[in-house]
Amino acid sequence: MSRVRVFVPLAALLAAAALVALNLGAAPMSPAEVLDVLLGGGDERQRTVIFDVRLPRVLLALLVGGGLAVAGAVYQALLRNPLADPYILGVSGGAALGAVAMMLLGSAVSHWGVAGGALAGALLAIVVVLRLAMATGPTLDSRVLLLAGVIAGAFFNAVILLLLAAADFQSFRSAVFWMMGSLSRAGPLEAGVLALFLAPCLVAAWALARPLDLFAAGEEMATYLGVPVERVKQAGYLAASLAVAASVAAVGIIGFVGLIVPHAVRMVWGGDHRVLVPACFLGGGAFLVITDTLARTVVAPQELPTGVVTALIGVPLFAVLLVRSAR
Amino acid sequence: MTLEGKSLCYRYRGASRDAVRDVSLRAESGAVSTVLGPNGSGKSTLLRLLAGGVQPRSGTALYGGRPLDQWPRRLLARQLAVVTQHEHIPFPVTAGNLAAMGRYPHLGPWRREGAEDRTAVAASMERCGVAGLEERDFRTLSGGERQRVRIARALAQEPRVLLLDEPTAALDMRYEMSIFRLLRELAAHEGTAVVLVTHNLNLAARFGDRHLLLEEGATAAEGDAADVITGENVSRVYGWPVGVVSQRFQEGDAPQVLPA
Amino acid sequence: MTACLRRGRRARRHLRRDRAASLAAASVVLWGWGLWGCAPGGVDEVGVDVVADDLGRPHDLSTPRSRIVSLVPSATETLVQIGAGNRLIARTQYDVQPELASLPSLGDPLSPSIEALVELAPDLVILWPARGHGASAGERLDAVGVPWYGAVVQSVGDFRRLTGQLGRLVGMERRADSLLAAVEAELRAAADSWAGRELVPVVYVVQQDPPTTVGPGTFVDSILAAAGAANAFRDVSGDWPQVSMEDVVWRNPEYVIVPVLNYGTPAVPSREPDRSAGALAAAPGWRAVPAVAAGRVISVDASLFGRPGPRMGEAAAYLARRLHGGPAAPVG
Repeated sequence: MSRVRVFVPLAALLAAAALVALNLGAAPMSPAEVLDVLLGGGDERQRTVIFDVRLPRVLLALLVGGGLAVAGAVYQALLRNPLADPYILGVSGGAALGAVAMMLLGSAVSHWGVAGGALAGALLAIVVVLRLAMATGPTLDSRVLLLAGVIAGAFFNAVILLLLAAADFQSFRSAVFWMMGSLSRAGPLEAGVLALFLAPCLVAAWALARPLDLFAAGEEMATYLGVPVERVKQAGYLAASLAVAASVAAVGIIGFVGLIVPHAVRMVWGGDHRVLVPACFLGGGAFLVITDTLARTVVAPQELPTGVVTALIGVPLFAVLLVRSAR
Repeated sequence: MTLEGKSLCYRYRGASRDAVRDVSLRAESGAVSTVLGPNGSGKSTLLRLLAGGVQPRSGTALYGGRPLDQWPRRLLARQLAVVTQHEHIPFPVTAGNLAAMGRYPHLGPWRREGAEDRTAVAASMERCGVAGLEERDFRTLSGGERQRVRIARALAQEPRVLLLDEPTAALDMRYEMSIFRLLRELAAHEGTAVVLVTHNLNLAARFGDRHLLLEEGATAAEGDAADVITGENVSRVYGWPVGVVSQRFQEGDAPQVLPA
Repeated sequence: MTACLRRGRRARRHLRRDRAASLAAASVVLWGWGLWGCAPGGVDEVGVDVVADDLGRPHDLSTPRSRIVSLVPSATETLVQIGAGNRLIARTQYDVQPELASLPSLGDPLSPSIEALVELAPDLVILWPARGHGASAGERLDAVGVPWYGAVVQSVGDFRRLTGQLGRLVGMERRADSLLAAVEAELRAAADSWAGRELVPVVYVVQQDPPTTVGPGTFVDSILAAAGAANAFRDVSGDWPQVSMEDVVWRNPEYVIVPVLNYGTPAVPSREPDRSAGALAAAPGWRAVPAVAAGRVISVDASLFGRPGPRMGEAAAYLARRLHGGPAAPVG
């Protein structure tokens, strides 16, 4: 499989999705005007709409979609479980707990404070879950890890519900909307910070591509083939979890991207991680740019939660792929 | 360098007795060593001990005089290849990519697959009779094809020692014969040390050089076929009366077991 | 019950639509005042006077209510203003008036403890009939035989209707009428304070994320109108519409108005630059709104602007002063 044949169409899809997204929105601007603004023209108001609202949102969607899809692919490979999604190890639960706790501290906490709380909560979840999984033996047992992740997630959810039960209506509303996930929290600075967080995680995932391939044969077989299994697992879980932590801190919990995109890419282009990891980034990015554009345009001026649209679009698309690949 | 197990003992967590008890084995290069014994006699566990997949409770497994757990796995994998009994692949992977996994220990972290690696994979697939299946999804292959692709992967490692756990279980006669022939040939022409766990006593006797018969984790008999595969040994260890006759093959004379 | 609810909603929606139309027609300030006849009510079969609450449930008027629990802060204010404050036997966490400080607090009005309510033995509970999972507070009160009045107050007209009903329920109709007249006068005075000046386009931030604002016909929209502000989202449907950030940027309001909880308390002193206005200026999206970037953010007291109660005139006067300067009218 030539990689060019995979990456070129995906990159083209991503570019097309981004261009369409830049052209759609509440502000009535023609494609010519948008192009003019992108090339440095346009009036103040048009420039603000493109550079401060639309472009950061497209970038954020690209980064979050790509990051979650890559994290999902890494989790699936390490856990050898096609059902693993980026939120299965409790990272999102920890992040949500951190964010909700910050929101309940008061209205004076800025969105950076909430994002910081989410990041801290996610890191706490990663440490707790990895330690739990290593407590049962000298090695990181993926089955125990899965169990530890699910249990930690359930615990975090319980604490969140406890906090929300005691919260006033305003905080309750903010917390629920935060957890539903929204890309409207996009600014150029936020997209840049997320890119800085994600970049090392994505590079690590890509560098692990070859050993990840060998995990398909099972951990024992991978050992016999020369893979330093423990180190790869630790590095892989850490990279993927940090990517998820950064994404959730930036935009809240957006589902289905990290589950569906890696599967779709595998069905179409196979399971070679040197193709899969970059293809997941491009494909996940394109998928979230498209779904988020739909989320903010179909019932304009209102917006649908992006996570709802990813599921509404992603699941039927996935079903079609599944049926076609079964033939 | 040779692979050697010295007085190996292993007990599974929660078990009341050792799965492998004080077993020693030396995998001579150029020889096919077989590990025989009924179900549950510890054959597969012994193989995992010899492969460094599990650590012995006592005793040591050494390669080149160095305990296996002190070898970097990547370096060991260039010397020692393993074909396990089962392999469940949860994701789509082509037969060619699966066989190419065998080149992993030969690649540096920043060294990409080169022509040399592709040649090695193609040669080992050719040798195992699976050339032409490269683009097929591994999971859609027949049992015999799958097993031969997995052996091709082990050969792509270019190992000095090859450990196989019942590689011909559930294969028909033609595949089974071709795999035994292949192993014989590897030992004879390339000096590979082959360690083979098998239930097929007759083919083991015919193609093997040294034999180890296990009974409840311990050595019941060892040596060449005439010493190990006797009517008395087999009847006792397997718990079924058998007769043994000597048969002449092109490989030489070999005892053959006939269950009563 | 549900049928009642639905009927009540439909009727109110209908009323609101009428009002929205007339508001649009009367270009600036009419706030739906006096466009309705008398409040719903009548006489039941046995000849007792009754009033219907906002769910269409009848309440007889044979005895004035004297042990009242109001779970609707604006209704609480109304009762205090018409001189029925001494009939209140409990308060909520939002009722911080000094004259109510001695009453026991029931906490959050949206999830009252039914047990505590039964203990108080009120002869009327005023509650906002929120529809939720399981039994609503109203259904649970029905089960224990505590009488309750369902109040849905979204507009100035709703306030007017509720005030009239409350006046009848406590037997203080005349005082209720004079309160309504006073609020009307205050609103007119607020509107007069900026007469002759241009309307200022504003966006009122109900919630920052997702961006949520006020639709036409809500009491906040009416306060804005009386204060000489043009709600930038008057054309959007819904009472509390969620809008896109880009739309806020594009509509480019002159001012952004942010209601702040605990405004004017030691926690959030009203004189200092407000911290939640600062948070808005740091928030992605919002900081791209030219008004926010330029610091044209007006923070207002959420307990003043968030209540369709007797202080709406005070709210309008305050905002008119902030937007138009003008003669400094005495507050409250």
